[in-house]
Amino acid sequence: MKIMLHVNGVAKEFEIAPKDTLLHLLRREGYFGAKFGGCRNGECGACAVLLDGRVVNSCAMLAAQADGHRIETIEGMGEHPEQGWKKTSGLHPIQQAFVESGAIQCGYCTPAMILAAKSLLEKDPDPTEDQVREALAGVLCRCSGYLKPIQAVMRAAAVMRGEVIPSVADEYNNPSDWVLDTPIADGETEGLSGDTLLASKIMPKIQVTPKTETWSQVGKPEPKVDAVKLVQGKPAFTADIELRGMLIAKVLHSPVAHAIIRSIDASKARALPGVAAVLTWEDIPRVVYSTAGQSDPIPGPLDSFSLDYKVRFVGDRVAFVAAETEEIANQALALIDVEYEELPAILDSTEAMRAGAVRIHDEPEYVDFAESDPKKNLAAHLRIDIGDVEQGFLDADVIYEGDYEVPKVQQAHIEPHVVVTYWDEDDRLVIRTSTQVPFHARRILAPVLNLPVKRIRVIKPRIGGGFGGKQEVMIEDVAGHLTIATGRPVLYEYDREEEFIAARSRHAMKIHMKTGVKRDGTITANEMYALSDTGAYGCHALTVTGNTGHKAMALYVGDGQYRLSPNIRFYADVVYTNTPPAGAFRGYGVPQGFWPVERHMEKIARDLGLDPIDFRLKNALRSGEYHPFSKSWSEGREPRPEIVHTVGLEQCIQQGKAVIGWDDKYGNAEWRKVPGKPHLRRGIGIAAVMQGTAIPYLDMGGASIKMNDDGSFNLLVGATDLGTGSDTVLAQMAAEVLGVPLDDMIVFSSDTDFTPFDVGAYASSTTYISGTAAIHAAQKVADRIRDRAARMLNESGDVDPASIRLMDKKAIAPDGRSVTLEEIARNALHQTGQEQIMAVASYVSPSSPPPFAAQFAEVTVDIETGQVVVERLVMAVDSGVIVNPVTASGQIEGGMTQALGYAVCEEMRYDDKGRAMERDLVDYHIFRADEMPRLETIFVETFEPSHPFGIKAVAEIPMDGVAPAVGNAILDACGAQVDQNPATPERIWQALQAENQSGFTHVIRR
Amino acid sequence: MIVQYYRPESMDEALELLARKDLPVYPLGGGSVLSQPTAKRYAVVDLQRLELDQIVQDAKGLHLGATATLQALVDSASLYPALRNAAKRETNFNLRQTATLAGTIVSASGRSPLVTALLALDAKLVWLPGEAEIPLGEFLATREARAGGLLIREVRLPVGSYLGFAEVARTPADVPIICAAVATWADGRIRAALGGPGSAPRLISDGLNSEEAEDAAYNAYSHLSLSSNESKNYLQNTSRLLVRRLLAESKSG
Repeated sequence: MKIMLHVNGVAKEFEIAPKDTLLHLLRREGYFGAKFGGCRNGECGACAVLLDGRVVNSCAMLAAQADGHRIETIEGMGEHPEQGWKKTSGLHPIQQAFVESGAIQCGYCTPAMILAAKSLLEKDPDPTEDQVREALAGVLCRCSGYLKPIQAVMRAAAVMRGEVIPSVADEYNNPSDWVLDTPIADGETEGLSGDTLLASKIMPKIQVTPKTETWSQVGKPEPKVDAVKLVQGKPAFTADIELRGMLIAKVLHSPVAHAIIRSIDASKARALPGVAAVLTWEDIPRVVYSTAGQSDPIPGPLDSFSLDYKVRFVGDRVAFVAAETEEIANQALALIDVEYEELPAILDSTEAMRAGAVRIHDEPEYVDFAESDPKKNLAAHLRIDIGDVEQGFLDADVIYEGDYEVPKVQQAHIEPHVVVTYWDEDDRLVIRTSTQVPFHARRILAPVLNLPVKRIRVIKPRIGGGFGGKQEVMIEDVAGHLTIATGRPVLYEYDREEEFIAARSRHAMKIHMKTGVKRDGTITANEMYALSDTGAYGCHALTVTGNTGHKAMALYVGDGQYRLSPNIRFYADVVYTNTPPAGAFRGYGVPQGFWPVERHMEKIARDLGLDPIDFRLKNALRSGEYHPFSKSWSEGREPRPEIVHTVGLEQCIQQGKAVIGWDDKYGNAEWRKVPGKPHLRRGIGIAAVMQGTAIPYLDMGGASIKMNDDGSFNLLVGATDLGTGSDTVLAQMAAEVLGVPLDDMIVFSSDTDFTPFDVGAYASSTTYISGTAAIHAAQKVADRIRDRAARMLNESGDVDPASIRLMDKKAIAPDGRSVTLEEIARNALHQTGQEQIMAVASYVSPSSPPPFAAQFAEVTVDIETGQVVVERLVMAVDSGVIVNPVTASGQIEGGMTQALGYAVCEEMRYDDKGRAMERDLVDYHIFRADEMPRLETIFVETFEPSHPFGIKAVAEIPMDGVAPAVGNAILDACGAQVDQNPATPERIWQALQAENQSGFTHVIRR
Repeated sequence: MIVQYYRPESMDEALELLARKDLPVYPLGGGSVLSQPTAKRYAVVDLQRLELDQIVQDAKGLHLGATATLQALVDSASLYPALRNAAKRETNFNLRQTATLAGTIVSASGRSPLVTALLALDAKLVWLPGEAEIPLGEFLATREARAGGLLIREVRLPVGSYLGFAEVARTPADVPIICAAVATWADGRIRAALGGPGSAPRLISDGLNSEEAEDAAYNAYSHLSLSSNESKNYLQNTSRLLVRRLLAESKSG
């Protein structure tokens, strides 16, 4: 059928099928700004466009419904102000505000948010903050925490009304009204229109370290280098490509939790017109591997196959199909006959190691790592003993034991897993994939696809969020096998249900804590046992669970003699079950550890009658002390002692307390009451946390920098910016060294053919490791520039190259004479002793300096229903020097928001057949813009001496403290001891009914 | 899979299309449900030209057009505030721009806030052809078995009663675990409805006795054989509590 649409002001006729959604049509016609979020209920909103001025989800309506209507897509809004000789009107004010406000992280939902804002502002040019939140509530964002997008819309509204607003640079240059030791009172307003609690200020609060004062790039709130393309909805993402003859891949997923495939008949599927290939385990090589995107050798068992004769969870792979269309591919899946011989299934981790339990991995190809033992369904085992734990317990006046539990949760990046594969003209397999680990993907896939590494090229386009989920080499082999089978390009894109049944997740754990304490609050011994559920495969089994202890159990070392020689034990069993595999998820085991540690510490302090903050600080790690685990364990590698040089925890607590008004609220019975609502109680809670920064002696990043004719530079990095802003901060650091503005750094990441190796984006390593590589490359280039500048200047005098400063795009001699970088570039490339000024560098770190943070939460609990509302989250972070305060605070806000879901609503559950109960973003709720608590970020800068610019990591630490801070706030509000998160209404209600209100399973008092 | 799409200009044309017997034919409101891919082949009749989206009040009560969007309900100052709130809680902002009242009723899950509120208000569905008026509760009980060829024209609501709505959810915008609506009339009539586990919200009480309404709320999930993430004990106590609160609110309000 034919329809007529008025798209961005142009009437166009389209041929469609009645079933076609508007999203399908728009993307087919090249309007790639409308994104596919994988959902079937229209719940994510990434596909939003405007229909007659209203924001609608294009995936949830038919193209035919739009016939005769006016459609606006992001492509119809502003554009880059300079298009060569053609000048344009530039970006739309909303787009400009998104760029300036740091409202863009991965950028996948950005076009939809901008369109939603446009619809709102056309109706109401002066909206309240609540109206903005409401207007954006139809677009889910997993990166930002919504704060900066909301600020961007408020700023854009002001600009469009003709108001003058301060720039972000003005805020940076005039920080005097951020008075750190003056708490902002409840209800105090700071906003453009005076009716919003939303601070109009984009900049977070920062306690700046003096060493940064002379820097021109590092520490500055520069707009992200990729922001302009993302606000325009440019086709930057993996699926934003059309290749002639491209096939659509689908996977047949197992309907049973554990079975042997007795027979599989794909003949009917293969005979279906439009089907190009059907692959079963009988059709492809049987290569055992691990899907974990980690360095070689992978620190975990090899227990996976592309396709196997056994299925181990509901959702496991059974067959691959490639067909001309999605409909044909789905029809083909239904035509594959499979005979399953069902086996008993293990769905509870406590059953996995019991005598007589069915063995999940009995394949002869299985390759052990360390203490894995598939006969016991054991993917990994850890035992770390520091000091003399038993003596520590003997020394204690009181020993507290408690049980805690954390659930499996989903990364829920809005861009699903997606890959496109094709043979290039040199018969090399190109894998264009949304991955955090392009180089690991190439290495891991080579044997699986029976290709040498050199015949694979992995291209990482823009990533629409990853959070660890894309640290897995999980779907690239599907498309790769199908391209090999058919010779044609193949697109494989998960839908949202596949993300829940067949992707990775955070490990669920059951944890037992045992802590010995003196009556004065000195911890004498601390022990944690974790039973970790890796699901059907052991990807990341050892390393995730190792981090649970390595980070969370390292924070409290004890005091006095115990501080000098802490007594800490961490041991864990990581077991297989017949549930979807767990893997990497931002925080990487540490949030699982801090839930029990920080709940346990809170209870102990209260039981001893001590102030919970004093108790924490008395026992917490301090600067100059050894990381207690550094002599004992290091992610499957040889441990090496490491001193923690900077610990800003105490300052974080002080600043966070001031901002949230702790002293007025904690222990204040009057404040807990809500006037007129006797069933409501307020509470306030804290958690102290630490993370790591990269994996020492292992994580390596590379960078190369090349100088161009005009004095600009290409920065090529293997690091992968998955929305974190790493491309920007790496460029800022290099620009600082080279004395140029950020505009003069052209960043490209990443392509295994062109960019240097990098382990990828994980372990909070990019700014520290890849950033140092970029700095080192820049320093080499800077040296070459100085040499040449000296030669150029020496025609009229004697200049020592080492004395030359690079700044303002010039090389400046001590006497003030200078040459521009453009002159130097032209001299080098065209005039004298011609050479290409460029350099490559790589970096691996001997240390992993931990960031620290104090997380505060305020809640209101309905003591009759158990319903909890989180009202406010304040996080004060010591991440060393902050390279870009806007992008960094965006990381904190987004991380707190993800962690908030972990605290109160996110949970993946399975029925008694192992079938997922949550399969979409309706049942699995992630926070929306219109329900967010107030978020505040404070940076307390320390100068980490192991890094040229003094930085530590930001990315993961916001995941760690929200859940325990909320749990502790619930305790403060109403006395409920909720030891299993998320803290759902029923769990709180049940805790209020519980006979044992201590929260401990066992207490010994001497 | 949708194999045919029609956009009739008149109601007669729409009813004629809906009466076809050669393949299933469904009325299409906003499309948020019917646009999703399925293996089943069917035709859709898009109602957008039929002007069924009016919201008006007359002597007979409130008339909510079948294709009134959920956002139109949210924005309609003439509606009960609690009903507007329930419409807002039904789904997110974007989907509310297209999702229609009738489509929401036809596809409602057990936890639908809007349908729970409509049940409490004793909503009637007016069907075409024939103008048959069917109570919402009756429709929900039989919707799986209803014959095709019919079309909801409007939803009728009484005016002058009081409506309260309350819920418990994991977060402020999450799908409710339990929601309750209580409507009261000047003559003392009390209607209470619950949304929760199960295929549809349920009417639990219609009478004059508030204690009976509370008891009914407690017993609504006493024979729980439905898939639920919450315990029977919790659902019972919370249901009763919410109804009790709403009854108290109606007396004070």
